Order: sequence, then C-alpha cells, then structure tokens
Amino acid sequence: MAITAFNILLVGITCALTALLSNMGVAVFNDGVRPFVPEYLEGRMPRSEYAVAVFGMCIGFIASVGIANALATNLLNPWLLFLATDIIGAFCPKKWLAAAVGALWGILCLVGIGGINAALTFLPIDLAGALGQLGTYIVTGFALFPVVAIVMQFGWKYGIATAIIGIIFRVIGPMWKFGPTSASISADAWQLLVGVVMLVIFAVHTDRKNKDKNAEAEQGNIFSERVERIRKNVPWLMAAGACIAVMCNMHVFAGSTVSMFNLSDAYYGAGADAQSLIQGAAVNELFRGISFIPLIAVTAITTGVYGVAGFTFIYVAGYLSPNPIVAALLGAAIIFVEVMFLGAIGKGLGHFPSLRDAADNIRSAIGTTVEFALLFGSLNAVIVMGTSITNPALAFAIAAAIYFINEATGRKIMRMAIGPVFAIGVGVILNILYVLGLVALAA
Amino acid sequence: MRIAVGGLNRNEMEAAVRKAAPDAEVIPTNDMQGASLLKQGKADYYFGACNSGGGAAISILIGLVGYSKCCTVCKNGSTPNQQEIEDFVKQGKIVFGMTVDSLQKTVPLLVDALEKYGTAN
Repeated sequence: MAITAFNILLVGITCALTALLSNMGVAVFNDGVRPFVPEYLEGRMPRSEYAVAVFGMCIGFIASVGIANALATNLLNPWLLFLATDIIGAFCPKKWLAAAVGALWGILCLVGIGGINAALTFLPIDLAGALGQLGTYIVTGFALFPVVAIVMQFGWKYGIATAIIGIIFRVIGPMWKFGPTSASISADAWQLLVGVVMLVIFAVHTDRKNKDKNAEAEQGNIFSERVERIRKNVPWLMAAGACIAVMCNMHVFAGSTVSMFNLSDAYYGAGADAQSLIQGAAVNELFRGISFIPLIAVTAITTGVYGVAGFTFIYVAGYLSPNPIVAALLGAAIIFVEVMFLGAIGKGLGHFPSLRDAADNIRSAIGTTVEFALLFGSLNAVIVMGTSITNPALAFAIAAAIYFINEATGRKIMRMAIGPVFAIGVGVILNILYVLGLVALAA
Repeated sequence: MRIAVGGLNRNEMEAAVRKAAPDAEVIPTNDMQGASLLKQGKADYYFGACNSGGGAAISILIGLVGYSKCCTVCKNGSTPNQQEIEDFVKQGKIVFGMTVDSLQKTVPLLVDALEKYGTAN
C-alpha cells in the first residue's frame, strides 16, 4: 500500500466516519451487532453491557481474518477497519471521541500493515513473494460454490450433475473463440456461469412446485418506521459509501476473502494479467454481495441500522472505476439506490422464504469453497518457502503443527484465517532458523 | 423436544442435532420461519450457526422473538462452556446461536443442558 498523505487522510476520514456511524447507531459492519443497537438506543441495555457484547462479537474476526489477511495481502480489509470502528463507536461516550479514535485506528492500520509488509520484503527467505500463492485457487474454488449450494438445498444427485456439466464446460468452453481478437471466456467463468444458471433453474422449479407454502410471513409492514430511520440517515451512509469506494479504487482496501488475494496479486505481482485478475475479483465480490442481500436487508429492516458498506456492491464499483472521483460518485449513488429499495426488498423476502434459504445455502457454500481454496493456496505458499531452502517437509511440518494445534484447542483461529496464519508463521520461523544458520537457501 | 434449525451450514447442524438428540423432533427451516414457528408454539427451541455466532445465526430472531429469549452460546474464537450453556438454559433462553466452526462441539452440550434444565420437558 502506498502510504501517501492522501491515503492517510482518506483512511483516517473513512474510519472516523464509520466509528461515528456506529456511535450514533446509524450503521454497523457486523451483522450480528445490528440487533443489539436498538436494544441499547431504546434503553433496554446499558452502554457498558452493549459495548462488551459488541467487543465479544467482533474481536475474534479482527484478530484472525482481519490482521492475518491484511498482512498476507498488504491490503486493508473491512474486518480490520470496520469491526474495530464498530467497537470504538460502542465504547466511546462522545461523538467526537469516537471519530477521533476511529481516525487514529485507521491511520495506525495503514501505516502499521504497510510498514510491516515493507519490512517483510527484506527477509532472506521470501515470505511476501510466497504469500502470492494464497490466492491461486480462490477464483477456481469460488466457481464451484453453486455445486455445494445445490447439494445443500436439492440433494447430492443434482450436485453431482452440476459438477459434471460444469467441468465439461470448463474444458470445452474456453475453446470457443469469438470476435476479431478471438477472445475467450475463462474456464472459471464458465464453471461459475453453468453452476449459477443450474442453481437458478432448480430453485425456480422447486418454488413452482411448493407455491402454496409461500403465503405466510408478511412482516414487512411492521418495520416501516425502521426503514424510515435508515432513509433519514442516507446522507451519512452515502458519505461512508463514497469513502470506502475510493479506498478500493486507491488500492489500499479489499472487501472480502473472495477478492482480496487476487487483488493483491493484481496490485503487487502480475503485470499484464492485472486487469483480468481485478475483473475476476470484482465478479466474485458481486456474487458474494448478492448472497448477502437477504441477511443485510432483513437485519437492517428489523433494526433500523444499516451496514457501513451497504450491500457491499460499492467494493465492486471501487475496484472497477477508472479514477477516484468516479468511484466516489458511484459509491454514494449505489448506497442511495440500496436504501431506497430497502423496503421493497424486505417485502419481497417476506413473500418468498425460499429466497432466504437459498441465500443462506449460498453463503455456507461460499465459505466452504473459499476456505478450502485458501487452505490449499496457503500450503502452496508454505511449500514454495520450503523449496527455497530445499526442505519442503520442514516447512510442511511447521505449518501442519500450527494447524493441528489450532484444531485440537477448539479452533481459536477461525478456519477462514488459519491458512494465512500458518503461512506467515512458517515464513517467520524459517527466517529465524536461517539467521541462526540452521537452514540455508538453495544455491 | 422440538428443535428448529436454521442459519449457515444447516445440513451440518441438522445432522449434529439428530445425532445428539435422537428422540427430538428436528425441524429444518430458516431464521424468519423459525421465528414464526416459535411464536406459534410449533417449535420449542431454535439453533442457528454463522461465523460470529450472533449474525446470520440469530440476529433476525433477536428482532422477531426478542432479545431476552436469545443468546450466543459460542462466540467466534472461543470454545463452548458447559456451565455458561446451562446458565443460559436456566434463564429461559430458547434461541441459541453458535459459530459454524464450533457447532460439532457445542450442539451435544446444548442438547444435554436442554434435556436437564429445558422448559419443554
């Protein structure tokens, strides 16, 4: 990350703003915190208890996915910044204090993560380079999420059929060239496309079969007061949306694990491939965003508290915008449109409970596939470092020890984060061994 | 004992509940329908999982059923604690959130506590 005056100002202002939003109960990032906000605002929960609850719900993510992934990608992420500002907003009794502490936290993260990463590149055993392996299979793994979601919702037969058809398309699809430049669609894009289309076909088919079940649950109207509150706060939300989109556009921030590793490769590694990596990351982020709509919409409608990044589509706008001004305008506009449609989305979800089922299954499936791909990428990084000292088994042994200890102690570090954690751990330990003269680089 | 299950990794949750409580009636559903099952008295308890134990797992139930009936029995980055779970059950909580990573260990403890101290016996 470039630590320029502009970026320091940008990250500082963004985090001041999100801490302020949390403090005023306008928006929080953690979906689990949202239902607690009205409990606190309406006096059923004292601030101290509220603050401790928010802290408990956020700290595990900051410590694992937040920090480890920021170090591994050299990009800031929402867990690191916005879960912290959720906590800061909950603890600070005054608005100005929340904003000030928020700004400090943001700047500390930018300078700290950037600084540590710069230091890592000087290590004798190349940790930063090896971490580029982390993202290798994320897009491929992600492209298989429809298969997992289909098995969860419709059973294994449909899942196997989807897997087979998807893999046939991933082999044959890219052979089809079109246009004057004989362009082709990538294998992962084919796989994803086939999977999503089949998921939609199966869902529509089952929905038609159980049409009569959709009559119940019309809770949308009770919450019109809550939706009104979010609408009233829309200028604040648009300001935060604009800032976050600009952070994405300035290459200092990535929205989630489905995009951050490829973005990191695009910004710091691959020269010519950069554009296609960014586009792949944007597509992943878009699908992830869609799967989060029901959760974010329903928690927002039932609580009157929005997400600091909305439905997260502002990330996609940030990655793809040609410059920060366009990113800011798009970020603000997207948040405005989301908030205006919130009531309608809520009503739609009330009528079609199957949509919520599908979204939960898709989120579970994305978790499963990305976790696996990240674990595999992390092991690759470990083996690359091991090979550079001609002792891959030693590197594997260190990584496996870290992994097994975490499993056996009840997964203190969540599965989504353990890969980057053991990769960084191996890098650090191998470098210490190198300094002690116990291992040597391959000639 | 009738347990509605929803949230992320619902298949895994359903299997874990069936294994821990072979005699219980397990109702696979989602959070919004789960809330109405509890309100209509068609289910006694709701179990849900997500990455934090409080987000997708139970956040909508807190809104619909009320915060006083909901709890997160296992938060992100921690391990399930039998004493804490029994205390929640004794307080009359009926909606239980937990993390996806911990559900295999949390469900048996929770079912055990409900069998001993739950209101639906």
